[in-house]
Amino acid sequence: MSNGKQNNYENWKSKLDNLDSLPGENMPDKNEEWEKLYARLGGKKRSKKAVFYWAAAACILFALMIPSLYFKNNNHQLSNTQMKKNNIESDNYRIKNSSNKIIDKKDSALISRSALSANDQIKTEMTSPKKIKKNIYEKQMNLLRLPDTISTKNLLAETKSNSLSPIDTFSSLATSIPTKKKLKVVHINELGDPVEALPDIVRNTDKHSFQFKIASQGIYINPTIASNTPGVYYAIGHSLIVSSR
Amino acid sequence: MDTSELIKEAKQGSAAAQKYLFDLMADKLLIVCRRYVKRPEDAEEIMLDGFYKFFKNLSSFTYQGEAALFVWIKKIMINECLMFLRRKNVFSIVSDSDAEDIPLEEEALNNLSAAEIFNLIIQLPVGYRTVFNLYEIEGMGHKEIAGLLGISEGTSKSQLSKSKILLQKMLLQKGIKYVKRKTK
Repeated sequence: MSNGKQNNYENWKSKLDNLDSLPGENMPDKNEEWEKLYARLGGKKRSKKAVFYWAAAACILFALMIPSLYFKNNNHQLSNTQMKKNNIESDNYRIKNSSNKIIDKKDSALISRSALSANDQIKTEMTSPKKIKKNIYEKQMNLLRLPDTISTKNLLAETKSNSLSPIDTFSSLATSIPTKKKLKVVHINELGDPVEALPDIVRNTDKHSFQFKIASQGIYINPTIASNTPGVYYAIGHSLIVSSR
Repeated sequence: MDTSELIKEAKQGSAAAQKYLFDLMADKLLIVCRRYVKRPEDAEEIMLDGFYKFFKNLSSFTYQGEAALFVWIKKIMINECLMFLRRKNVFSIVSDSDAEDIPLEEEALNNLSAAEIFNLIIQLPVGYRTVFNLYEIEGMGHKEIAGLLGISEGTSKSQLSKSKILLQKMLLQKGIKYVKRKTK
């Protein structure tokens, strides 16, 4: 009886085990299921898709970013290079013009006139000593200075004609030309004698002395005391300590 | 191709061997999952999870024959199903009551086809169905079932007896329908 029951039990159980398809239902597509599983296992199929999507997204982003970056860079570079070019060109142009203008008729006349006047002045002041010579030299130098010879009208016209650079050309030109500083001419005899050794009193006062305290007792270091003998002198309370250097 | 070779290749990470093994066992294992989890989508997901674990832990498996392989993977699937059911907190609502030892109408079941038996089982409520599957089909004891489901042994026994009573009723209904169909 028990054997028969066992057989029956195994029978319905084995029937269930041998069931290959779901009753009244379609079995899911194995390939689709496998793709899902393979993707989970870290396979290529899903990753390919994912990579494709990521690549596409990256391409779109890149494509969107390229023009903006390009224009930004170009504008920046252009502005920088143009600024530099214009500066250089304008400077060169100005220098050339200024040098030409010096030789201009008007300017040359001016120079000749000024030179003549300077000569006249020199002639009149010939009788005075070295100071007169110095004054003449200064006057001549002032006349030959470039900014004085260039007329502002011409400069304005040039800046207007140069459409690329809205730069203050006058200031740039002024900075490009080194300014000459007038130095006072001093004769070697005017310098006087070299500094002699200072007296002891002065030297001692120049030297530093300071006071500090250790455990509410004042310690003094005074080099004036130690002027004769080498070493550091510490006054602690009422006693004086001498330590050699 | 031999199954042992397939296992060997699958262990080495051969996608072809893995797919072959999947194709070989997927249908049967899906049916096993469906016996525990009624919703087809959930069962499919559990089966995939089971296969994932199977392939990931294949290196620790020593091949001792096809039957052993199937038993091992089936066990993985059942564990996955139980984990899923526990996550859903299915067994917390199972009440603990006195269990009656009711015999299973095996003869009646034996007369039914595999599909009919399957349909009867999946119609059982989740608690009854799980305990019935584990006790009657997998051959587990109440202690083991109680440990797996996180319930008491008494609950496991009561769930089993209730499942058998319900099955009897269902079989009776089926029998009545069958007789009615025959007499017509």
